[in-house]
Amino acid sequence: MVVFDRAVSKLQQKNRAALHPDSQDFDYLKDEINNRLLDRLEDVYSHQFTNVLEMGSGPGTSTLKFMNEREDVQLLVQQDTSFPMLSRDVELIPKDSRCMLCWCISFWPCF
Amino acid sequence: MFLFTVKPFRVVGDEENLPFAPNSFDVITSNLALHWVNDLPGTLKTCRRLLKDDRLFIASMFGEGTLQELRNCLILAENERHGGISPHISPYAAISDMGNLLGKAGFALTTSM
Repeated sequence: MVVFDRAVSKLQQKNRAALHPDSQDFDYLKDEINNRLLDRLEDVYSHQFTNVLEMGSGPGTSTLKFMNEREDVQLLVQQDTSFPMLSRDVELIPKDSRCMLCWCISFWPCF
Repeated sequence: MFLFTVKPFRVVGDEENLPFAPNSFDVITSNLALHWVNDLPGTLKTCRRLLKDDRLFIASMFGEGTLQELRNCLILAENERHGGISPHISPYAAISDMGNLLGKAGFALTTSM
């Protein structure tokens, strides 16, 4: 059942939000909720986390910071529908820590 | 100087069609993103498939009462002005439904709060 027009209106909304000059001022909500969410990973002792996927990551800086503080994470994949969102905070990552930004065109939804 | 040891691999793609091999992740997280997914049962099943066995899926999303006051105001105002109502706020999933969906997707030890 299609409720949200993800390919056009939600994507445009995210793109516009990312390209807005003040968009970093409004990260506080997402960052705070992300911190509370990822704090729960501290409670898991049984396994080492090597590969982590984050869906709908947006700018992705707070998860990246959290995963850097853990010793066991090796691969962090951050997925988002919006390219400006993912590339908004790339300058905050030091140059030698930047990884590829790739586009999965073949998996784009068709309405 | 903060030390960045993890290199982020950023993928522009769709949450509903994640192009990853099954059994490949230890943790799948999602922060305030699943509320705009159309096929939530399918997405959760895909997440279960992408996870290795006995690993963690942890997510936050906007739920049922989000923006309830705004929804009420818009309904009252539109009813008064136009005589009818139309949706202006996204529909959100109820927490009990999320618990059921997680169970149907194949996750054990689900906690929803």
